[in-house]
Amino acid sequence: MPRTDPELVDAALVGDVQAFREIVERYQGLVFRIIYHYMGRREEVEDLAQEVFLKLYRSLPRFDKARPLQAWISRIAGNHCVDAIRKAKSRPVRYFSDLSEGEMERIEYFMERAVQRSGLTEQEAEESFSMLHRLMEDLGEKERLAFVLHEMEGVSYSEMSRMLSTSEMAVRIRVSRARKKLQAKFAASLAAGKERER
Amino acid sequence: MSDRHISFENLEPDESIDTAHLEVCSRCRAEYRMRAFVSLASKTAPEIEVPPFFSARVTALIKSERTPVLFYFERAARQLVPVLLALVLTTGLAFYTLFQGPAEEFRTEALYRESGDEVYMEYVVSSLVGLPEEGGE
Repeated sequence: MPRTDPELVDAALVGDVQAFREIVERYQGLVFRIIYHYMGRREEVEDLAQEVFLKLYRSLPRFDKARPLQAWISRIAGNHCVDAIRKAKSRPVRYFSDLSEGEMERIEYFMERAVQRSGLTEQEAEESFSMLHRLMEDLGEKERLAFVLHEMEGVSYSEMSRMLSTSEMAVRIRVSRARKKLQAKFAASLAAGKERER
Repeated sequence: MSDRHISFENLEPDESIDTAHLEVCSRCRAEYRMRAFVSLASKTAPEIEVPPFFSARVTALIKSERTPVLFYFERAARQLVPVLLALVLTTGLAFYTLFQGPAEEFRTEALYRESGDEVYMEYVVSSLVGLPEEGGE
């Protein structure tokens, strides 16, 4: 019979590495997904996931076993992504840019497909995901995290408020603000494209 | 058809959208299209596979670390170092001020005072003008 999360945590706390390995195996899929959805690039997911689990290991003594381990891990993963984006922003290279005409066209194409509720090929799915990430680049850290957890991971507002230690209203506002910013970026790029055409 | 904008925030998942309104309202249409795109891109987001032996690699790294409890105490101890240092310095200074500095002078003065007016007067004069005490060089 598999051990429960609190049992595994207790064992890992006293140095049972095998117990921690079981925790990693149980939640590695979730951590990889959160990081990938937040960062949008496959290349860095594994390194970040490794760091997340090291952070988790070091933070186990502070973990409240009355709360779900999944929420604790999601929180660490989310915060780690926020840090990673912060570091990326502090690099001297230009990291963010306006959408190109080609990208705008592709987004419009995917919008049309979405409205018609038609499916996407694997390649199109990959492309639409990367377009969504282009739109998400200008989101603030908290908005981006709330958006990813709610829209992509399907985490409810109440669950998210517990996970991020904030009110339900605050997370609702973050998600709503994120949506508005995506809309605004798209509209601004559209307007800029029309301006260039003139 | 309603003239009012669609409140997407409060829209229930199974609630149908006023498509007639979408035809005439560019604002709601734009929002609807964006939402549809976000939903499609999120739901069809490509899967990411965990590479084989990932958990083994993590545990290999963990083995080189201490147990979380030891790590925790070590970190707590590291954070306590400056606090303890400040405490030791403050306590030391307090002890010095109380017992070595002015306290010593008070004790000396009290001794001279007890030895009689003449000796005490000599002590006061010597401390005022810096003369050597009796028996001194």
